[in-house]
Amino acid sequence: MYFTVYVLLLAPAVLVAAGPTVSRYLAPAAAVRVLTCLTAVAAGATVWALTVLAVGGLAHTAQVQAYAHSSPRRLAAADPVPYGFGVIAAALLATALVRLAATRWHRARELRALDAVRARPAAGDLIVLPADHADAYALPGRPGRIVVTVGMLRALPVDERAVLLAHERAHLTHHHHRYAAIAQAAAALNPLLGRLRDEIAFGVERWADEAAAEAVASRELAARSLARAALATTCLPGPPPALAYLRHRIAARVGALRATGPTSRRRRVWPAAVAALATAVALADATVALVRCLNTLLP
Amino acid sequence: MGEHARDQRRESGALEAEVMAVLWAEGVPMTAGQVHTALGASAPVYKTVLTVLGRLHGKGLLERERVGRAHAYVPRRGPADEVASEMNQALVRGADRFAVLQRFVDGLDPDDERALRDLLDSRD
Repeated sequence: MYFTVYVLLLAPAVLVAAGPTVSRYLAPAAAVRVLTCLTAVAAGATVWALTVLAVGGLAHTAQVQAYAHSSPRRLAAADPVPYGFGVIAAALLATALVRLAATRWHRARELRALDAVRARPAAGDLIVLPADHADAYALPGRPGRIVVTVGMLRALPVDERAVLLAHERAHLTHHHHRYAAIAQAAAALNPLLGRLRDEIAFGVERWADEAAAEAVASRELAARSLARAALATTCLPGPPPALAYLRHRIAARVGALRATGPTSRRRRVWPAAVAALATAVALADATVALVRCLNTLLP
Repeated sequence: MGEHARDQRRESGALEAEVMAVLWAEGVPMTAGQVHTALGASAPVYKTVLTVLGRLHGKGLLERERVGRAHAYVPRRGPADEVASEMNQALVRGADRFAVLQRFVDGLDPDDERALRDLLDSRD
């Protein structure tokens, strides 16, 4: 029965491997939702497997035995996790939780600092910053805002500016920051899930690109706006942005907009769905095993 | 509030953003007529542009001066703008910002740069 715990530990690797297929065969909005589910299931599997192993393994220590008045033989029968595994699992679990806490803390601090920008008077949902470099982003929260520098506004002709505003507005109306937050938390819990986080980051941009193309009723116009904005940012001062993976994919986004509109081919994502379902079953089984172990410990 | 009223309110917010973007991009005082022209094909009727300009002025976002019989509008800049701008500059250069805010574009690879220039040149 404890075999399922080890299945859970392998699940994130399998789910990460399914990521590219999901991105490729689903339209961006559907892909982001499915990828976010996969990453949440994978993070859950990681945490739960480590918890079960830690409880099972550490139950062998003398103090726990004395406290629980359980017989070592009965425990061994219910729970074949070696003590060493328990120690390693507990250490990994603690590391994962510390990383998650650190990520959450950084995020809260950055959002608080950005409140100063959010507090600026807005025209509708737009805040313009009088800076010469080209930059634009969606600032989620209440109220959500589109922040654009004067440098970016001047770099684009009026119809391409409409694409930019529609793109950022799509981030806000579809609550893209929530998918981003889940992806980031999952990657903090299990670094293997960084690949899925990158897929989600790209999917979210593609989703907003498609929404903007629809808003201005022209994929070609959306592609040109994106290309021009990207070229305008090449004269950005300071060190290059940390998110290098997005940089490599501007050309991919422009290319996707110049191709025909995306359609979902759901049959192709069956393997990913089956992997997620199998993980969910393994999660349930491991939970039963944990309960059995605790029952033996605390009769 | 009905569906229609909500749609209208969202529309007017988007319109305020577009008008403000035009005024910042041009950077010179503009009359309602000039803003209307600059908005191009997607422009609403002239009267709506006039209303939006009045609303933005009421919010303290625009300064206006008399030019003949019309008003010319220009974005109001204060010291707080510069501070917010500098702070923004420092912040968005930070570490993993993906989870905090979503940007339009995040820099570019030199190889892609030429391809994108070609794309724009083919139509300009």
